[in-house]
Amino acid sequence: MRNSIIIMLIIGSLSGGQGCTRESEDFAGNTISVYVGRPPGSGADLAVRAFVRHWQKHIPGRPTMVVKNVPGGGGSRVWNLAWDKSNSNDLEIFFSPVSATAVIVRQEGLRADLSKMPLIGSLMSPNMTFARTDRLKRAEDLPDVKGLQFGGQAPAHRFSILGRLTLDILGVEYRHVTGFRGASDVFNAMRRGEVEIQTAPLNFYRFTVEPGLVQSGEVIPLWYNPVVDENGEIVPLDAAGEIPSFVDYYEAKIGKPPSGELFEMLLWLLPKLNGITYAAFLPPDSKGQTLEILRDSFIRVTEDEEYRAEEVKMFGFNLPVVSPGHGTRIIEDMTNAPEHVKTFLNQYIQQGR
Amino acid sequence: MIDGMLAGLALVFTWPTIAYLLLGVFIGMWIGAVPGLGGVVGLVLLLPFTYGMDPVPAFALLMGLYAVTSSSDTIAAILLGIPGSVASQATILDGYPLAKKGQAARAFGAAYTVSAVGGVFGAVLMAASLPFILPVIFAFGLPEFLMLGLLGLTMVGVLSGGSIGKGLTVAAFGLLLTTIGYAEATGVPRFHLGTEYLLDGIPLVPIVLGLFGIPELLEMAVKDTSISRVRLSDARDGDMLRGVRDVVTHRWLTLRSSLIGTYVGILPGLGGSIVDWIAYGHAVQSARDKSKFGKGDIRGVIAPEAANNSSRAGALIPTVAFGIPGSPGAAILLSALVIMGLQPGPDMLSVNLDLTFSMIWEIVFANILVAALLMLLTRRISKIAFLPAHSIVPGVVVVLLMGAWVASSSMGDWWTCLAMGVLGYAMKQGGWPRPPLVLALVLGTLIEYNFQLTMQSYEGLSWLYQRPIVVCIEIAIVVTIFLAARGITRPKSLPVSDSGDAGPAMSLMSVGLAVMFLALFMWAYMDARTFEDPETARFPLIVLTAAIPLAMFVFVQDVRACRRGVSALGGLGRTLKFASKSWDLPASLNFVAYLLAIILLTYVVGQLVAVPVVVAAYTRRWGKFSWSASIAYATISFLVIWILYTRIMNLHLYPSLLFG
Repeated sequence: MRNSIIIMLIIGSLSGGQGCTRESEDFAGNTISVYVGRPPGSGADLAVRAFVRHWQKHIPGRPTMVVKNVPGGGGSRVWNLAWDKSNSNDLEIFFSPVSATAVIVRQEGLRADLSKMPLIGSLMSPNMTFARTDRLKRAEDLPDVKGLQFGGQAPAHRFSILGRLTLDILGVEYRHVTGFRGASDVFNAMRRGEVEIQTAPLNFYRFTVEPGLVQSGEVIPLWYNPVVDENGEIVPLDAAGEIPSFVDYYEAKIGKPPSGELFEMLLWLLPKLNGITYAAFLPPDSKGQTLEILRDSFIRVTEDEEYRAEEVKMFGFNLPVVSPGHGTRIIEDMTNAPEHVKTFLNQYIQQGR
Repeated sequence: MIDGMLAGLALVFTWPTIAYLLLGVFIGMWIGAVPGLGGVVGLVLLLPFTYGMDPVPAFALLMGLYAVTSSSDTIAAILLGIPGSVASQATILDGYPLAKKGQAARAFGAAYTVSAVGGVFGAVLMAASLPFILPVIFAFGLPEFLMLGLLGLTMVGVLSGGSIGKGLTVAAFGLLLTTIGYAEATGVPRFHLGTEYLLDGIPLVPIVLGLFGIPELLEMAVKDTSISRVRLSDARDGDMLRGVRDVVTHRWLTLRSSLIGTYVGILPGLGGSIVDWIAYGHAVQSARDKSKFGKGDIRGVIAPEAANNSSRAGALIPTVAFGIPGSPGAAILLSALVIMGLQPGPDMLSVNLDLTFSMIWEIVFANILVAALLMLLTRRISKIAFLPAHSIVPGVVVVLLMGAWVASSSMGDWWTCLAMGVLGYAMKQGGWPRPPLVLALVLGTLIEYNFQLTMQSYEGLSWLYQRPIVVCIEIAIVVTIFLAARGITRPKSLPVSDSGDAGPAMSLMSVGLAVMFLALFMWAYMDARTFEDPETARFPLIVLTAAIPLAMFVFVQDVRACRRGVSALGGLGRTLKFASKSWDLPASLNFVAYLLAIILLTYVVGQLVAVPVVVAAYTRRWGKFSWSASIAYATISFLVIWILYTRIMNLHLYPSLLFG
């Protein structure tokens, strides 16, 4: 009898502990779980952990924040988990990389409708294209050198799509070597001369490519993929420094601004593929008041000098912030992508295989 | 160079660096000992504490942990037959049989000694190799990695025991398992049965924990026996010093394995996961008397343990000096380097040479320190091998299941673990070797990945004969296959791995497994034929084209053996009765029912309730514990999950129906 009571007490304490809800705007004494859809130690995991470490001090009541990893489903499991949450107590945040192509083409396994989940905030991760110099002596020689090998990750990966689109717009004849596991794997193949062009995050270029191979003249930067603002206008990226944007590169080489169906597609895709690289959402039925508090605190982290200094150490620059309004519109655009965009993207991914 | 070495040494011995190193070693020792955790998890947990620290003490903390997890993971490998981490998979092949013979202390003595020697040797070798390491790394391109993967696969012959046909079939099954989920080259999902869990492929850890851990625990529970089949009073040959002496006896094997570990460790994407298998294969191939491997040969512990510790230093240098991480753990160290404002690259070999050497020294001291600490604990740890089954089985089940849960925090991890446990038990009873499955799982993704990229990157097949390293590895493959084929004709010279009872029961189970594999291969073949992209289907079809005839061959052989057994026992009915007794079927099913109960109950009430409840039921009903002892055991299980896995590791537990 006494033992049964002990067991009941344990079960009772569990049900009370796990199911409690927060009733005020103050998060004091609460623990917020932040779910990331990548394994521990991955780039996204480390980026989210660094952000979260500063986030808790900007939330009223300084709650404890813990990062939990739920990898799987090609990155979609974390969003499905958020989608399945009901009676959320607003103590669960889902902060992970968003695959725009998965959302646009409704990748198998992704059940969540991101447009119905409140966006807290998102960070943009710019990227760029660079090449080996053994065949491509100068950046401006590119369209004339035939048969270069472009190394990419999976055909639906944003770096593969952006890299191929820009090369296609320029009319470059290249071979697509697809299926590398990550930017560093492509780069290793590039160092060995197995591929010659790569599109990768700007921070990867700054930390890994530039110090060794650019300085020794073995690799040259070509362009960065431009940033498109809320009004659909291309804006300069300070972090890119001396590297030209793709549009500037094209104009310098061809003598006129880029245009045509492929370029229109690039302009449509750019904010979706690059705009919400790391996005934090609440589950679908979350409260409006909490959302405002978290959105406000998210922005304040990105203005926190300590975090910004750490971000510069990690990425080489501060990741541009996308406002919740802009981010929400991007997600709605992705979710409700026009049929011709879906068709194009599906075909383009298929061609990349 | 000498100045850099001395300056690095001086950095390690400044305060508080040495204290952080000790702390890292201490934490790493415990994290490595828990199956399923390992260095990567430990580094992720410690990384936030290093923000804002100076680089030298910060790296002392991280390196202390990183260097030693592959020493303490030996505890579970030897005592329980469960690999503590990917680095200790091969250690179980001979480590666990030694523990069964009551020689766990001897195995620990040898393992810790070679871990220290391997760690130190690897670090020294790396330091000496700094000037010419980059050309070595970049001499290995996609075709070389492909060939190394294939060379590794030829070790199936070594790991197949007496039946190379079964070994190859199991290896084909392992290769097939690696093709589940998104194909890397095309991004198209394969064989995922419409489930989210299988989209990213099956994680290795639940498979290995289930395949090796559950059958051993089941056997212990069913037979109510301790790990050691020898009584403590009779285990005179198994002392720790004998293990140390074994290392001296096999000093050249220790050095060769350390050499293998160091240089395989530097190859990005290859290192940590297969180095122990390569070293084990080398130990078997280079041994004159192979007959004791798989039954408790100390050389089977020495080789993988020396290699996996020396590979840590091997992976470090390309990480810091060239920004090329050789393993997931090295990738985290690279991030730490960047966060601390240091740039990986040539500066680490010039301006910051002292810091680079301080890391090497940290590996050296961490390895020596942890070996000494673990040796101090060995006497106590070894006694676990003599405890009664029911006092350790529930505890190990908890750690095993939670270790599997770490893989992706999904119920799929537990179902995988259970399914592999049942398969592992059946394989053990049917005389099918289990190590080739793990070897194929480790190598499968590596082989397909490099195969697909090689075929795209290199036009034609000229890479097969124009690249010197590829040609050398091809020769090694041919020689290995020749030696294995020679072994088939002389099966007595091959090591016989752990297998169940011989006789009709074994052949009956073996037929069942052959039928299962054959059916699975045929279904997979039909399914692969429907894949739209040729690249998506290519690798599975190649594997299955070889696998189906192999499984048929084994099936025909087994049916013949089975028919002989059935007629000897006087009919199928009597054979089934005999088999049921031989497999301890009711008790075995009872054990599986407990595991199933944990899983099903978790859906309803979550792990924090389900696991302690089933532990209490097991200890009370099967273990005949008193009520108070059962509840105490259950409470400890609850506290372990709650404190270690949810509070310290922040694992996402299953959102149950009742408690959310």
